[in-house]
Amino acid sequence: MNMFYYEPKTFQEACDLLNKYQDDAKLIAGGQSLMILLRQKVVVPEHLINLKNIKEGAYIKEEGGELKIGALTTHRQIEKSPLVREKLPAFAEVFSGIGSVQVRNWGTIGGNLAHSDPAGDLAPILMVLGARVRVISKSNSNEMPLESFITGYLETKLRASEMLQEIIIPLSKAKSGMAYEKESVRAGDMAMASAAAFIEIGSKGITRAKVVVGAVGEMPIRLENLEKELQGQGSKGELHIDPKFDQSIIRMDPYVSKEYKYEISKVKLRNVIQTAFERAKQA
Amino acid sequence: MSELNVVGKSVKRYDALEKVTGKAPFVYDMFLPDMLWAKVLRSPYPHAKIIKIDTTEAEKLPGVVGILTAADLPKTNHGAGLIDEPTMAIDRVRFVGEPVVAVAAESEDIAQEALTLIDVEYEELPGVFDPEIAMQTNPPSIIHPDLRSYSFSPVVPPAFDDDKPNVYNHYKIRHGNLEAGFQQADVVIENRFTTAMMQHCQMEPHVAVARAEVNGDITVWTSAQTIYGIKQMLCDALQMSSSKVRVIVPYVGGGYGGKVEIKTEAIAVGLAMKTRRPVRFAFTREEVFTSASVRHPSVIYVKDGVKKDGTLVAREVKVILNGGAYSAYGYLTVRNASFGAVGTYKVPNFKLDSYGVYTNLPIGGAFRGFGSNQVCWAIECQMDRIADHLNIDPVELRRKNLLSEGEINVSGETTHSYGTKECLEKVVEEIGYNQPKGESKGPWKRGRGIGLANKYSIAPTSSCAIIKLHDDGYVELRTSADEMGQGSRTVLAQIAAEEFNVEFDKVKVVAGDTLITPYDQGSISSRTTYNTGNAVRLACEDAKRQLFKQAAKKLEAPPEKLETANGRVFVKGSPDRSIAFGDLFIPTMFASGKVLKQGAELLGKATWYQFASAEDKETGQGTRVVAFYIHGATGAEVEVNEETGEVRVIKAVSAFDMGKAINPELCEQQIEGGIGMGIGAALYEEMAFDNGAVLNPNFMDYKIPTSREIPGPSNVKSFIVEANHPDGPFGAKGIGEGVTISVGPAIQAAINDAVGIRLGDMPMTRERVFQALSRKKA
Ligand SMILES: Cc1cc2nc3c(=O)[nH]c(=O)nc-3n(C[C@H](O)[C@H](O)[C@H](O)COP(=O)(O)OP(=O)(O)OC[C@H]3O[C@@H](n4cnc5c(N)ncnc54)[C@H](O)[C@@H]3O)c2cc1C
Repeated sequence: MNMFYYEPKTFQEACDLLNKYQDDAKLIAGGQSLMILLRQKVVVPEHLINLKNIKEGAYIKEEGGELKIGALTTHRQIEKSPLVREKLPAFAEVFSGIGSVQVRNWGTIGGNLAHSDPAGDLAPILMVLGARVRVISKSNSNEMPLESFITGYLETKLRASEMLQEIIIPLSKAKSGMAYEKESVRAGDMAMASAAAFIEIGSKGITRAKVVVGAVGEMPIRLENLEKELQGQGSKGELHIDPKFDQSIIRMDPYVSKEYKYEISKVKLRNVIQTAFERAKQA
Repeated sequence: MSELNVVGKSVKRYDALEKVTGKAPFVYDMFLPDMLWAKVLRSPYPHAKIIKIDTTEAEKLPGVVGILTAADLPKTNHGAGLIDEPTMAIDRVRFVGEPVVAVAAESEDIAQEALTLIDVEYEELPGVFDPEIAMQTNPPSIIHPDLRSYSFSPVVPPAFDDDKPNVYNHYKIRHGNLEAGFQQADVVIENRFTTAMMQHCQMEPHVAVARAEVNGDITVWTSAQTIYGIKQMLCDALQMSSSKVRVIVPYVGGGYGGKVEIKTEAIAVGLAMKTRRPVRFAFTREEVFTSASVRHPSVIYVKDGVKKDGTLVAREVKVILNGGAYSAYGYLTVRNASFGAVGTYKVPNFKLDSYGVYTNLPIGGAFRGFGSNQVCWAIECQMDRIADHLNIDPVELRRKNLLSEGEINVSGETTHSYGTKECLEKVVEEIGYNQPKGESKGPWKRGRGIGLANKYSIAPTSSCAIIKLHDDGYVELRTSADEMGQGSRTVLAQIAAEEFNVEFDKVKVVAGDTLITPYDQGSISSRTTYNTGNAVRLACEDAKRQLFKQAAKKLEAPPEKLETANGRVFVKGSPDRSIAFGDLFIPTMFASGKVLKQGAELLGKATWYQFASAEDKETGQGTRVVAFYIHGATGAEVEVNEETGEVRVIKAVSAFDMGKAINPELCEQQIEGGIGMGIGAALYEEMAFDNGAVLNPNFMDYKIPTSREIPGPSNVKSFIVEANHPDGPFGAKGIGEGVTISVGPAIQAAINDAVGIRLGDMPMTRERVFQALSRKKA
């Protein structure tokens, strides 16, 4: 079967193509997730729209107390960005664990989030940071919290005519810290369990906590009960962390048991909460 | 022995320049004019009857040139010893991935599309996957109802078990008096160990390009490590006489035992004969996993009787190898795996039973180590458990029970060229076994451990070599030893250079073409340096005889008074009386080169035949059962995360006895590579299945270690020990397979040293470590 291939130069051109071909079209950015699906013929698009020439899509800037990252910015650009390293060092750190340098040279932040693999490393940490995404189409442009953008296993709110343009990360002014950890078989493998935490502290201990468990469920999941338990803790320096969560969210996995995934998720949760707390104290 | 000039030196690899410039030929890079592309439709069922195959729609697809099924081929099987495997499924499929229909088309895409148009009707049969269930007297399925009527190799006839219909071979060793041995014992310790199914993961997938010649001959280029074995299997499968089949093997992008059977060749040939056009059949990576051979998963029971002081007095071993759908080289693995329990320790009373069992899984075949990995894993783990039980240091326990030079092993052979002790002491020192442990950080605990290895090499076996001397003083070596990266061409050229006293770069190697290069059993069983190396030495002697005969007249000295160096023949002791090879030739008219007045060419040729003694079928006893044993030891230092079960290898050192290192650097590279592959087996690699279908046929999900899972260059160390073998060329034995074997046991011991758990199942995944830690806490 023939496949038509396009290289739009602007977001507008890309959106026009999407609008025209709708479900018959597929976007490709770094191809680090899509190429596998194309090769296995899991995805067989009639129209393939390559975003690599959209120069306006790759940037990192600070604006109005927020960090704005173009959807086509590669993992490697973010990892190396002095701005990200200065403003969100713990976020910059996450990238070194994604695949290999070769994968990071191609893979984009937009592609990573749009692909919505629960084992991805970026969604959990961006969720605890309260990130938003900008979704555009031929004639619309909307912002929504990342948390509501991700809807399930390889599923998002994106409609056929829509694409991701930008990721917006608010920069906390409070004394805060964050951390992300994953467990993977080899360095750079997709996570079998992961956790992210963001903690703000005041004089009376933790004032705000956001905690996400990644990889084990259909998508990264906020643990609001745990967040509540953390509220107000730590005024004397000690945390009491009991990172249990509803085990029924854990997906079947042919290689590792649910029990083990649960146990290491708890280890990861405990670690990230502790680290985020320490970092907040030092901030 | 006189001083050596080339042997024992780390000369630059013969193929270095070709390989680093990307010019070295590999079959995967090969495309012939007018060539067709082959694709194969494979069984989706682990066990089923084929009711009907309908290819009419596929035939109509434009660009499809030929379709092949078993109906187009002779109804003959092939095999490595037991002739049980059809080229394409005949009326039954026995594993997911078995070839059923092949298509040749103008492009790869058309061939692939044609597969979707083929309709095969199956009737499912019960599948059996667990070897302990398959080997029951009443198994859920009998996988080869015709087993008893298959033909087999006269050199090693199979031993079936009357009451176990899925057992395709049963090898026995009996030595001493087992019962008396157990009676002498102060303690009896019994354990069960397992290992997983692994893929070789060669960089170059299996591939063949075949051309049917107009006179009915066939030429096949293939990525294989047993050029003559492939030729024979092709002759068997296609019922062709041997001179009609020409096999060419250029460089091979990795073998590791996985390229010894006709996975691609016979189908490519069948299609080429049918279409009268050249055909290329190249496996995808997924096909390598589903349809090439694999390392047998194993279940091994070891029961030992020991004295309080640690002396072994009785050992009983039961080895169960999950052989998959066909016996292939696994037929021999069943026998040879046993030698892992023979080569290292002194055991006065011994009994071993090894079973090869058919199941509906991919075919268990040869895999670097050929069964010794599985058996040594069990034996080494068992030694550690004995040490625990008796509260003796594991290294001390080993020292106490090692064989010694001149002692009879449990196969009845006399031990010699036994470098184990030296290897053991070397790694004990280099890993810092007795030094204080490194500091633990947080949940990470440190530990060190040691494991031993032995690897036999097969007998009887043979290799041949041809030497041609050129008028410009060059020495040409013709060999069929397959170069798959291990450096065989380099080592063999070094031996020829040594024999003729010429610089290494004055040797040319002509390799891998059955029309030109003589018989060789192949690059298997760590056998090439020893066997082909011996053949090269003998062929050099033969060539020298021709040379000295011709030179004797000119130099006016008897042949036995002559010697050769740097492309000249000298009268011994008279350096001024010499003649260049070229001066033995006479010029021809019209400047058409030089010719020898007599004998056409200065050609030497020889067969090296490694004999084996008779072997008692009931006891496995013989005086020469194997060609030689490689010995070695590995020391590992690990960090274990007590919270997650993750294991990181911090440092690994191995010492191996290869008899004599013809090229020390190549030996070190084998040892280092073996550590990497050993870490893969120890911690990561395992093919996973759902109802016989491979779940992880790709490098995302099947985890081979990367450079980040293997300690950096300063923390991987290799040491050479040279216990010269009296029969080896310059004392050399082999090295290639031994080096992975002791890595798993050493890591196992190091994990125990770090966190106090004993694991018996490989790979030691973090979940297994975690579970063992949880059990320990409970
Ligand atoms: C070997 C390997 C290891 C990896 N390891 C990790 C890891 O450890 N952690 C991790 O998080 N990820 C990992 N990845 C995935 C990697 O991060 C991918 O780069 C990323 O998931 C997808 O980004 P991409 O730009 O390559 O997207 P593509 O593969 O091009 O596209 C992925 C999906 O997103 C859609 N898409 C792309 N861009 C947009 C857009 N702007 N708007 C809307 N839809 C869009 C595509 O249509 C497609 O459906 C790994 C990948 C590989 C190959």
